[in-house]
Amino acid sequence: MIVYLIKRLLSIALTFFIVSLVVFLMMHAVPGGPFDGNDMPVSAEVRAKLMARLGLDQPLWVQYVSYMSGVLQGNWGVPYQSPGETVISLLRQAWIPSLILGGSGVIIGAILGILIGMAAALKRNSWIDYLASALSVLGLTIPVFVISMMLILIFAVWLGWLPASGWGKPERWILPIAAYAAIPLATYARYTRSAMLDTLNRPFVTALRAKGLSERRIIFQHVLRNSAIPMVTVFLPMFIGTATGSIFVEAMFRIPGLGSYFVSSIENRDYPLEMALVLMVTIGICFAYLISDIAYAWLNPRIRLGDDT
Amino acid sequence: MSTQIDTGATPLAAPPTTKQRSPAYFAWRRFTANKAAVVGGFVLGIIVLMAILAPLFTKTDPTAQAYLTQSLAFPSSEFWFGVDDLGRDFFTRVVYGARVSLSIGFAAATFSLLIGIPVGAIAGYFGGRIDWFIMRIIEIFSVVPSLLAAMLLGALTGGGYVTIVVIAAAFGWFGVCLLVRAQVKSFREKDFVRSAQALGASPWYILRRHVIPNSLSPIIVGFVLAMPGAMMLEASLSFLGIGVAPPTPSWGQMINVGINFMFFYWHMAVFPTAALAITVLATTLFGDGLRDALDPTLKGR
Amino acid sequence: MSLVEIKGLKVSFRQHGGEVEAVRGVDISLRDGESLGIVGESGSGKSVTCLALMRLLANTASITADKLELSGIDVLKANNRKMASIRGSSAAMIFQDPATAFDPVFTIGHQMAETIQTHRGLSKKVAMAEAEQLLLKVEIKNAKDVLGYYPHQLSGGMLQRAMIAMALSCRPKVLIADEPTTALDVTIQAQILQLIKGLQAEMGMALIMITHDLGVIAETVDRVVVMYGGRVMEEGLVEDIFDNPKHSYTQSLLASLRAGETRRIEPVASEPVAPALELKNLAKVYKLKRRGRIFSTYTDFSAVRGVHLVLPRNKIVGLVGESGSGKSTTGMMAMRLLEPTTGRIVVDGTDVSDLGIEALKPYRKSMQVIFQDSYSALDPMMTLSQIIAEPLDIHQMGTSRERTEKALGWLERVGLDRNFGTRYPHELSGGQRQRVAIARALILEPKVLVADEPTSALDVTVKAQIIGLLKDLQTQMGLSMLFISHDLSVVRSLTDTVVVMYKGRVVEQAPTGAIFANPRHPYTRALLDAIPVTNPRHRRHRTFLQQADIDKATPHYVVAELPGHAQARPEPQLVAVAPGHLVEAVVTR
Repeated sequence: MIVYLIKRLLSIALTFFIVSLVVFLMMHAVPGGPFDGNDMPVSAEVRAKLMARLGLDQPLWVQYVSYMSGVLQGNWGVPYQSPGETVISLLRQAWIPSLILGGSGVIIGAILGILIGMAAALKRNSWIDYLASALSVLGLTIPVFVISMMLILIFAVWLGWLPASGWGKPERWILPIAAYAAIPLATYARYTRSAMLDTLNRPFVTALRAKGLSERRIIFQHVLRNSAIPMVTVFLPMFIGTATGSIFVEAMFRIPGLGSYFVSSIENRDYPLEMALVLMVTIGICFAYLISDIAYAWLNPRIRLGDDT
Repeated sequence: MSTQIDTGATPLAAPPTTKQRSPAYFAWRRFTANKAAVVGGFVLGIIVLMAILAPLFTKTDPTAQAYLTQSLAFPSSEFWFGVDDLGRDFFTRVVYGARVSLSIGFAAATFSLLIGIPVGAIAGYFGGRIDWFIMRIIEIFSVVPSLLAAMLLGALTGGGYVTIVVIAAAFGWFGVCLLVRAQVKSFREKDFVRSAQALGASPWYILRRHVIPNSLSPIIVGFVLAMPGAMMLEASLSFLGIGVAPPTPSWGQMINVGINFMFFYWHMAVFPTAALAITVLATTLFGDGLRDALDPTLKGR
Repeated sequence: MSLVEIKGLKVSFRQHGGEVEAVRGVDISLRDGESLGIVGESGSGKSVTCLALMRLLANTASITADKLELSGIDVLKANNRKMASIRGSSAAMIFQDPATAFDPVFTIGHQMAETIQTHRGLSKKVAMAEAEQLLLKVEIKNAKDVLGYYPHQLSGGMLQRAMIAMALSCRPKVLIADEPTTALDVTIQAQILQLIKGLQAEMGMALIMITHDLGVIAETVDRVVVMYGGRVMEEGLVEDIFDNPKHSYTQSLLASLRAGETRRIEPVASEPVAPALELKNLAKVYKLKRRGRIFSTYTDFSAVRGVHLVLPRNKIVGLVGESGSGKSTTGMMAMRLLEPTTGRIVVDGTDVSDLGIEALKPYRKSMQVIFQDSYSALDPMMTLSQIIAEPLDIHQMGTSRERTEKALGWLERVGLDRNFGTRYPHELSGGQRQRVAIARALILEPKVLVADEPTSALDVTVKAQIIGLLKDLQTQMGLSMLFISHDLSVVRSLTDTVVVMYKGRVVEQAPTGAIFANPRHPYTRALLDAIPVTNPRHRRHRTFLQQADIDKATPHYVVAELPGHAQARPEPQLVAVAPGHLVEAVVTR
């Protein structure tokens, strides 16, 4: 198993570098730099000096290498839009709301989704089954900003129960968390249900019953364990979906998190900030990838034992 | 020791055949049994028709600011969806918005097919190094969040129709590719392919005569299921202001505007939201139903 | 009191567009310690009957019966808890595919222990110790290790034994065995059957053996029930059934079983004409990857080593062996569907081993193949006439109309109606599909036909029909056929010569009658010994040889003993011990 994981680690590291390189090139390939926006016109001379100072006049590959080596040492640069701080200090504040809201949303959504999915699989064609299917389709097809919008419309505008925006007291958190929870809930309801149904149809379940095991034991020990594998593999795409969703949720609910900085950094051509955010998201995704790989390897005895199957 | 050769109709070997039916017929039966899929397909069909025939039943051009004096009017019998903030008939705007979404969906799905089918077929048929290489590429693509990359690209190129189609296709092709690849892989090992090889058929003959006809189902399914992703991508980008440029109506854009007016003028937010949700939902249900109906492992068995 | 009492059992399944009746009124009873065989083909309802008895059928099944009792308990009325308590303890079941009987993510030991713990309330430690004892009882020597293995780490035969051990762990009153040996090699089958019989006697269990193979019945049970189409056709003591079958279905089953028994030793004619196919020193070596710590190392695995085979004109040669013998690989190499590592292939006098794809194409017309799996042999999207006409299509022969006409003609020739031409493969039964595959293979009138286990997946009566068809076509067309099979009784009835392969080498080769009457190589003897008897009175106890024993028992000859020219060599080689009869042996001075 160790060998497998090392190989995966290398593969993920490679992916990380490729992605960072591509993003870097993309940013610099498009004409227009941070000083070409209309609101800060500068003379050619000053511009040249500023570019030199920021190192923007170097050849691209030099810029890339120096940036990346800085990153690896913990220096993520200085954002153009507020040169008084470093990127890191700027984002340090932004981490928190994104993490709390996003994290809770994912956890709550996932747990609920798993429970609903299990119930749906076990009681086919009951109201729970239809509910699960409906929720999963809705959650996965309707874009997250639409969901946020509907939540705001219903709970804040129409019913007036909960505040619609801002970040402060916990009651402001409820709607955003619900919005975040939509994708994980839908994903897990669907995948748990289908994974369990698949497992329940496999012949060894009949054999387990033939042994006289109680239905409860069969489901909780055997079926669940076997269903876990596909459920684990869906963690990664779900994580990615949530990460991108954060942009919208934060925009809709006016939350000062990472997502909102992402939008502003693109508008301002704030390279360091932009790169930093993209890298952070990529690192996060690579981690999620690694975790799901580890879980998969551990759950699947063939890989765990390093057998050649 | 020879036994009597008999026709296929002996009592001992009688199969339960009644009328002859092609695999397509069984697929149709399965599809129609899935009510959600049928409804989805029906609704999608209506939306497509409305988009095509839009000029026939809308009052004005979608960009015409004809009703400035009645800006932000609520829905009434005169203005079915009300009037937006710039004095345009909202119903017209929403219907024309369908054109944008659907056309982007179709275009992106088509390009996804154009790239995904040959790549998937090659990866599945030839296997080995080629397959490994293609899978690595897909892996890299799948790790990058499509929306973020789309935002970057969109922001940098200023958005616009073409950009969106390109991005949607760039992130949609590997869904189709994986479906086709899986299908081709499973068929490569089948004995009828080996028999054809034993007869001296070239790989191209086999691809043409056997692999592609048997791959029609993942292709169709891949096409239909690539659409919602593209439509959501467009809506998301337009929502953020880097998609389709105003004044061309786009649901995502309208939702963005709608948020600002939402508290007092509910119609500004509700209609484009509902339109987007219904279209994506209908397409997804239709596509899922197609996939279940065309599942090759169930063909007529 | 009866252990099992079934009266008037009816089972039907709800399916797309209607109900399917699987069992239509079946009466079966079983006493303590009795052994009963239920024989029938697929679709006869034999498995469904026993699954209904243990209430293991899916919810789509509706079960009705006048009486359905297991160990005195009314199965129809019992609640889930009661059913769970009698499953495994009153009646235990073993299945055809042992891999599907185990949960792949838990160890063997865990799964065996959990059965024991559930029914006998012992602690985990004690249960594990019990499990180890049971594994030893089923002749698994490294029982302690196996406890910690996962299912995918064991071979088929071992897994089968583990499954039996698990079934016996709670001392069931009856063991229900559903086709337990159908997927196993002949020698392993014989061992497992003997094991089951022995355990049954030792534990005083009753046994229900479900199978389609009358040979298995003859070996293991005292009473027989013959099922067909969901009903009981005939029942009685096993000797009576074998001596005096009353129902026509039973009679045809027996006829299939005994086909070929009357084969005599025929004189070997000398063949001056060039053989249709000759394989010289054919070998296939695979590089296997072994995942090491960081890098992978490759080891060589010889699937086939140095095979010489001659297929004379207008004759049928049977290539037999068990799994891993290399017979299919040899067949595929002969067709050049698989590239040999070394060796030459000579078709009708021409060496085709090195020809490229283009150059090979005309020769493809002379050699054709039919496969075992009739499902995957036909393209589901093509009509039957298109399928049969495909060879003509590939070789561009004739106009489109001529091709269709010829295809329809062949459809009739293999015994199907012309109108079937517009049907699709999924509408046909397995036997019918195989007929279509045969038509496709023969439409180009090849000289050589390689048949790779064409009847192994078919029911017994259909098997006989297909064999008959092949034989007639072969005689009519003067075909030379290489018939690859592990089913020795089929080989016995069909072939002229038999080639026996073991671990990639040919160990014996002789005219069919000679092989069966006078096997010389220890492996051939073991193989023939393992064939189930065709008469229950001939039941016997067998001893089984391990591979090491077989190697040790390789015949040794001195040069002077052998007819013809033989050279002394240290390694074993194929030598002629009688005209046309070759054996692998060690020759010394």
